[in-house]
Amino acid sequence: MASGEETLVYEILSGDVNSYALLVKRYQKPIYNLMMRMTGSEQDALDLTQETFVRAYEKLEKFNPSAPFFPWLYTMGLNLARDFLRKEKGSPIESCEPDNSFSIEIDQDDGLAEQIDVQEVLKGLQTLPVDYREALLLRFHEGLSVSEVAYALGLSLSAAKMRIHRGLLKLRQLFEKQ
Amino acid sequence: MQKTPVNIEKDLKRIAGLIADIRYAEPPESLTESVLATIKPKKLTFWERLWRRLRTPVSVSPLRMFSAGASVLAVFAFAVALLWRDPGERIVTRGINQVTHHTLNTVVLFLDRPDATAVEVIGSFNNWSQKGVSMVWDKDRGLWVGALSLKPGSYEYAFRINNREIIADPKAILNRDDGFGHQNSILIIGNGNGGETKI
Repeated sequence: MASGEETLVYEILSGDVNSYALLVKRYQKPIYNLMMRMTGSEQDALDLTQETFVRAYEKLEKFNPSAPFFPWLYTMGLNLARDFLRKEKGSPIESCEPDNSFSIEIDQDDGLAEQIDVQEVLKGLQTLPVDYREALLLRFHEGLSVSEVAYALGLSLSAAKMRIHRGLLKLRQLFEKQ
Repeated sequence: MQKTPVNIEKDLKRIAGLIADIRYAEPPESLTESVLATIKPKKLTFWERLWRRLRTPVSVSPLRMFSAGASVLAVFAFAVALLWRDPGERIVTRGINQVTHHTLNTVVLFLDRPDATAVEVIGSFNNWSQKGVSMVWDKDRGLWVGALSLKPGSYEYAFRINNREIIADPKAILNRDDGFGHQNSILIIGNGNGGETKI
């Protein structure tokens, strides 16, 4: 848990709503962007972000203050987004592929790494299954530890490691095909 | 030429670095207010609060130790000043810590802006130099913290956020219009001489 958040949680539970504003400000950006990726709609993303923070506030009594707050919040947001897509849009949620489904070609020339940029990586991420994409963003964009990624995505530690590594390989494979 | 494991690893590291560099969209500014407007303050019983407090770990960091030490010193210095000041001497206090150090006073300023990425204190203490005094983010407090060592006197100051937004200290007791439609905060460090504000 980011330092100081235990105290914030205690203050919130003691009736200090303003302390919750600090947590909202701190994490609204990654949650809002999660919802943008999930829904592709600014209005839906805004509604779901707000709902995530309200739901987290309502369930805060069940939160263990010694555990990391952000992965807990992220789990809640991801579940809300998945429910939303199921109910409102009727969109199927991509499931992760079996572990043995992935292989990479290694017959490319050197220099692949220098040819790609942030925009291409962003586009590539959108083509990945949700678990792979979110594992990569949590690990490398949010800077979470592997165990925190596992917690946020409801995976075992080894499964989280696998998602991260294979997610990177999948992205690389996409660029090789280009 | 075939990719070697070393080169593949290099590709993966570069991709990971590019993921870190992705720029996220900013959520609407009204989001926090919308959330706060929806929720109501929680009410815990005394025993629930006590139980939760006992379960909450207390972290100790050098900065927190420093802050605690500075607070103790400030209280001590304030008590000494109260006991030893001349009759009629004016002491001005505000929400800051002051530690007497020879002729200089160390003043610690705090700013509650968790959304900021960089904060500086600018002011008359260095003739409003472009180069301000950098504040550091105190994770424990969830505040920006900055220290100034100043001679007794009064000063105007403001916070420069992300190198563009300039605001007065929201916690300051005194503010003054800067003549351009903005407010500067007033900081008075007194030993009774109440020097003029340096502008």
